[in-house]
Amino acid sequence: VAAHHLIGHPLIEQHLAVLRRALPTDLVDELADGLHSSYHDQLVATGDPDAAARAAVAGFGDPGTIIAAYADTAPARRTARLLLACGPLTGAAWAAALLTAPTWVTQAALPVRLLLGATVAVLAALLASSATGILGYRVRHLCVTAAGVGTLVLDSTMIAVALLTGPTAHPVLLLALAVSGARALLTIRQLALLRRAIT
Amino acid sequence: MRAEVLKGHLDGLLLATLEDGPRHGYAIKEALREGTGGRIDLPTGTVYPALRRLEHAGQIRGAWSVVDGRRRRTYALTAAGRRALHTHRSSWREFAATVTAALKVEPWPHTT
Repeated sequence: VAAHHLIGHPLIEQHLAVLRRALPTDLVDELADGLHSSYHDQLVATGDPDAAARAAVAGFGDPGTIIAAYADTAPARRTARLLLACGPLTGAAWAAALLTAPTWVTQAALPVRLLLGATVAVLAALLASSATGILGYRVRHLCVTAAGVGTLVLDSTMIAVALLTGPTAHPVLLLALAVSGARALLTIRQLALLRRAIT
Repeated sequence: MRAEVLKGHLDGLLLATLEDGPRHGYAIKEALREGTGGRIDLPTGTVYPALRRLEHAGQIRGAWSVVDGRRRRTYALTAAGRRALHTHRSSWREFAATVTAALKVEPWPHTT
């Protein structure tokens, strides 16, 4: 029993391989511990490795259901919702700053403004799809990480451009800078949490 | 026991298994099965996502160790987890008393 316990069983490894393709190492290691523990208990009870593996896999649950359950509770989903919630406030702050400082707005060329709008739309789409249940664990993680980096670049660019070219001591612009700066700090923290979660 | 009956109670059940001390995922599943005389026997794999959710919520804390060459994550209740367990118990007592009254079931334990 001890030898079988250490070697495992092809059926168990097959089951874990499905999970490994969809989930990060930490989560699969934990699932593997549970599946091997169950296999060991069955092996002690039956003495038959094949029957023990079949019973352990049958009592483990469908991989698709398990993967979906992890995707629902993934840290990336919470990050997506958080960043999505920050969007309207940051957008409103910048819109107010741009509208109340019209001379500054006209300095930006049309392609630049279009690029800015497209960037915001892409980031919002990435976050919205990640906040719902349509993406798997790894894809969601990639989308939210990309959206987080994009948000950080966007905030940093807006802050840098405003400080270099914007009107000085403009109260609404200062508010937009503060909101964008706060979101940038929040994004950095969330990206660090996501990086830890995917190991 | 049917899975839909457990809906809404899984978190409380998992937290209760950790009240006496830390356990890893499979031990939690087994404690639940043994503690209910086999009536609650969850699929092993479904316990782990729920544990991660409770950990993200700050109600349990996980720590890695290596046992028999395998990585194992063991969970312990946090102070927030103890409070959540207390709330689950209160809600359950209230729910059970209400349904017992509505179904006109004899109060438990019933002795003749």
